[in-house]
Amino acid sequence: MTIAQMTDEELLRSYLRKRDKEAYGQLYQRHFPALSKYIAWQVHDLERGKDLAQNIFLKLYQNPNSFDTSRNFKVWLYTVAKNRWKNELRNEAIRSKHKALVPIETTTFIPEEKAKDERLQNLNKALEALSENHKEVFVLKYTNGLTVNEIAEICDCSSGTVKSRLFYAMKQLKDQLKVTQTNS
Amino acid sequence: MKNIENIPEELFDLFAQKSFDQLTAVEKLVVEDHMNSAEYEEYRKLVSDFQDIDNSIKVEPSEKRFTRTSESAIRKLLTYRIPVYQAAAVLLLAGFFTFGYFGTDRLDRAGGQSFDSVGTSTETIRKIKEKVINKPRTKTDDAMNVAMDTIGKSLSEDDYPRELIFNL
Repeated sequence: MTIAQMTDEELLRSYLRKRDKEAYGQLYQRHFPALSKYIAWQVHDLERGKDLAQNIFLKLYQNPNSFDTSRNFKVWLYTVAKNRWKNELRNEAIRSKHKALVPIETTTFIPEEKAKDERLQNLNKALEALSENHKEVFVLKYTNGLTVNEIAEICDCSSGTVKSRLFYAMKQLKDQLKVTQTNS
Repeated sequence: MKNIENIPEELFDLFAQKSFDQLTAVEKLVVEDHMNSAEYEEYRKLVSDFQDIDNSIKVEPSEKRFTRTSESAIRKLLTYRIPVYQAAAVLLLAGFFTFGYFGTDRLDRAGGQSFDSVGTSTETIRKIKEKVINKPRTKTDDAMNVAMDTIGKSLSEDDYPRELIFNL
């Protein structure tokens, strides 16, 4: 079996047992882009998304035993990422409390040519208007192709709740886009 | 809309995969159980637009970036400058452990103990002295007193104190 055919868990076990850097590299190549984008959608900053994802992979590289081998690697990875960005936002909120009257910088990470497209621009605005829970479920489902059960595990809720959040997120986005279209 | 929590997961996957016309007869039944074709297309467009934006965001996994981050983390650690407030905190803590642990209170008590023991010793000496003074005088005592009085004096046979003459 080639490295490319190995599952995530097999790759990590190989890295754990033999410190197989090739196996680790494969895991990194497989998940780094999607993980960075997942975080970027939550924090509205691609560079920060990349840094956080990088940090998670670095920690895993240094301490692979932190991975619970009984769990699905992808679910574990996104759960760690979710906790990280939530901590980041919490710390940022605390810091911003001390920086009175200084507005928090928000950067858009959508490529220029896409940002010019009005419909995509509106979709991005509608996405930003979603609640944290709704946006998270939508992003996990449609950028990372996770199953409802996997998302439920990451979000620590039932699969029914995931479906409900997903449906309401989509409904809200659809309604919001309709309103914007009508107005324009 | 039926109970949302019971929507089959397949429906959410279909939005990302097929237009309404591309659905099989069975899939159409699943969709129509929850929404009409127009609604389905709206949701499909939404998902497709979102994925379009997401795919346009390019993130290249780079080994160089990985190495650079590890290196920069090590360099950061090595070149870390201790801020003044941290140094002050360490000094304060050190002071606390030194004086806080032994404490002026404890130091006093330790000193007090030694002063107490000095007091006790003085008392003991005084008691011994009294005992010695009040002891019934003996011939030897008298002889000793005379000896003490005559220390430093040259003794002739005439001056020799009678008390020191013992008849053995």
